[in-house]
Amino acid sequence: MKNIIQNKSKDLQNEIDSYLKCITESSLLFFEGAKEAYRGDYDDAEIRYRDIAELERKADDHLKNIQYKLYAYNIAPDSRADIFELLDGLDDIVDRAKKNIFQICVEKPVIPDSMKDDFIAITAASVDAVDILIQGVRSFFEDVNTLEGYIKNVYLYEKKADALEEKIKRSIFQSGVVDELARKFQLRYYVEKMAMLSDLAEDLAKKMLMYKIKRII
Amino acid sequence: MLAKLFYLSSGLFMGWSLGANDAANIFGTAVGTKMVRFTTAAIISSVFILLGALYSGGGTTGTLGSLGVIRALPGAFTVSLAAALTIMWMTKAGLPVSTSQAIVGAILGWNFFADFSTDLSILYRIVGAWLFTPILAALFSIGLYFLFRHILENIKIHLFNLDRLIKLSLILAGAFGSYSLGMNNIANVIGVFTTASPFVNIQVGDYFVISGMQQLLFIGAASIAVGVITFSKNVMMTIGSGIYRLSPVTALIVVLSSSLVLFLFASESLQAGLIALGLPTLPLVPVSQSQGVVGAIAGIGIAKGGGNVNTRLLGKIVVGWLLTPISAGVLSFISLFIMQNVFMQNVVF
Amino acid sequence: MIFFRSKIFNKKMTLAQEVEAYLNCLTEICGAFNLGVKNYLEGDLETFSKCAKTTSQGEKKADEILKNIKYHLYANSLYPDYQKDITLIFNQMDDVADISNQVLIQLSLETPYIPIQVKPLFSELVDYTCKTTGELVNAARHLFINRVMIEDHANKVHFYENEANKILERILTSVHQGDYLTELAYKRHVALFAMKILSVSEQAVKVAKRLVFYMIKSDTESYY
Repeated sequence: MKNIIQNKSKDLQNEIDSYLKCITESSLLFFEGAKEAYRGDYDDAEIRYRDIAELERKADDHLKNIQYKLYAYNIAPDSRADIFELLDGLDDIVDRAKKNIFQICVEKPVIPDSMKDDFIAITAASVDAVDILIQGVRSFFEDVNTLEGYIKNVYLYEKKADALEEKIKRSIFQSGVVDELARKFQLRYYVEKMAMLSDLAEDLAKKMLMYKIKRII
Repeated sequence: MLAKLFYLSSGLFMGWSLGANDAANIFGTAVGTKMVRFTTAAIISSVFILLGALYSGGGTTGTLGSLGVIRALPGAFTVSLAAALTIMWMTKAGLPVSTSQAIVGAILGWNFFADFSTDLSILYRIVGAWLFTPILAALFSIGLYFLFRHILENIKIHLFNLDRLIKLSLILAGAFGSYSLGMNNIANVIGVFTTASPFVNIQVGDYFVISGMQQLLFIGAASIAVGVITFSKNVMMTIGSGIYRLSPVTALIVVLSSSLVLFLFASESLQAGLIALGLPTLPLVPVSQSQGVVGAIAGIGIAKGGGNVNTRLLGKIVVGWLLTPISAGVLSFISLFIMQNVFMQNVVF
Repeated sequence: MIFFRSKIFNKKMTLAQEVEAYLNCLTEICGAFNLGVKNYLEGDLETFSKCAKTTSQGEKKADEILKNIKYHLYANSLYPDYQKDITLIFNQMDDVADISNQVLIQLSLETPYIPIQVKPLFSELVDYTCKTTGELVNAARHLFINRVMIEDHANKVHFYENEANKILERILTSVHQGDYLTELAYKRHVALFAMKILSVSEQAVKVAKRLVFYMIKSDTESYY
């Protein structure tokens, strides 16, 4: 009863807001880091990687606080699990992005000049999907009636990433620019890893839509 | 005094079982979904049941009292006991039973036993109210459903603020529901004892008098409150009937709808206001809260597209309408015979 | 009412026994997986084959027990509100066993060349991976008994997965930036197997998260 009278939800709202800021910043850093890696600036990309790792640690702390406060303040008990699953899903995406950057910095794949723009484009499409997803998550909390618009855009960017993935793979295997089979596999691997981010964003968007439907009376 | 309390025990037992079962319909979802603690719900429920019974329980009590004027306390005890046993037996048989229908059937049994004529106009009003309860509850819930949906689709509010609002609403609705339950169903608990009441007026100071009727209302309401506190948690946590599986907003609609019906069939001031305006009124009759809830849930099913109406349950309710008063009447007649001829108690003065 | 509750109680006991048998199976698979990878690294292919056989048989046994668990859950209508969640948890836990088995099969098929420079790191990686599985089993043990303990063990799963991830990063850095492997294909082959081993603990983390979601959802009295 005390929790209803004293508005503890503001505290939790701020915590979620801070968490989403960490996720947004991580995705932006990832994009910059990926561009630097494609250009061959691996030192700069490693710095981005460390910044993302630091932000991820902060995000984990926020997530723990969110879980604690959802329980302690008894806020939205019927949607608690959905909220936590949604927010945790974002952490998975950032985690995947962080691992991608690390692997690029370690493996230092040689990306042909003719493919660099496409690699940047597929990364941009995935990052845009994640960015729209985060905006969708905000709208899930603040104005659920606008959620569907964001979800549609996530699907659009995911489709764009899929199309670019196909284009790049054809280019890798059929253009003759890359000779060595191992290099072809390596480049294919990175294309798939970049596109995976938009797939993860799409999966989470679908879950969010389900949670929205659960809220309809 | 002990003998008098013994004769009141059947009514108090009715009150206890009413509190144990019906409070779950009011606060079941709020407690089940952890929106409200059980202790909070129990306290609010008990307080408002007491207030409803004390301040507004006179109307429905008067109606039952005039249906069957039982002057002998043993007679009132037997009638109330017959109703309680009917409820127990039908609950065990899995039929949704109404306390109001059982007590009315038992009173009719007493009228038949004592060879007193039944005021048919009162009986028709009572039966009409039973039939109309689920229908009215369904209509209210359809209206409220569309209203809430419209609001929720157009309002821009943070999920957590909405959660807080819903919690507050569930508490307020629960308080209103408890008040309505008290004012409407207290008649089921003490209605048969009004004429044979063992309580006399108590003078407190020079100006304040606690009437026998008020004492009777208080002890009846207290038995409901005890039922709420001691056993309603078990009922709330049991897997089973309708309301516990509803979302908080749907549960809010159901509680409001069923409580409005109980309120309309018990409010003397509302009746007086409608009479003053020259409008038709509703009779002051104790009605079944459970059947109101079933009607309200059916109303929501209809509002959502009609696919989820539990026709089997509705069918059982219709069977209950016939079976409950008949069973209670027969049992009441037999019990009165036993009480008079075996235990040598005067059941009719 | 008491008779009814004791009937439910007996059925829940049977389910708990099946779950315990399943978790024991998973522990056995994890142990064989750990031993198998280490024996491969040492070149003891005979023992490695025995371990691969043990995980394969263990995985089949686990599948059988899982069928029984699902049967008991649905046929006896136990935990009706959470059947879907519980089934999902066990399906994902089964993936942990599957992935462990697959890693050993792939090792036996592809026989990657693991340079001596990274063998200790591989050994550490598989140790941390098995710790994640161990803590996952501990978390799952509390599924029907004491749900509040789930989070404690889930946190440990996360911790050990993090440690395993750090080892993976060291392996990848060493393999790609060291000079003992020159061909890209060999570098990627080693890296791939390191990532496959890590995927066991990544799957364990997924299950641990699902256990925590279940714990949050089912925050009511236990009727055990």
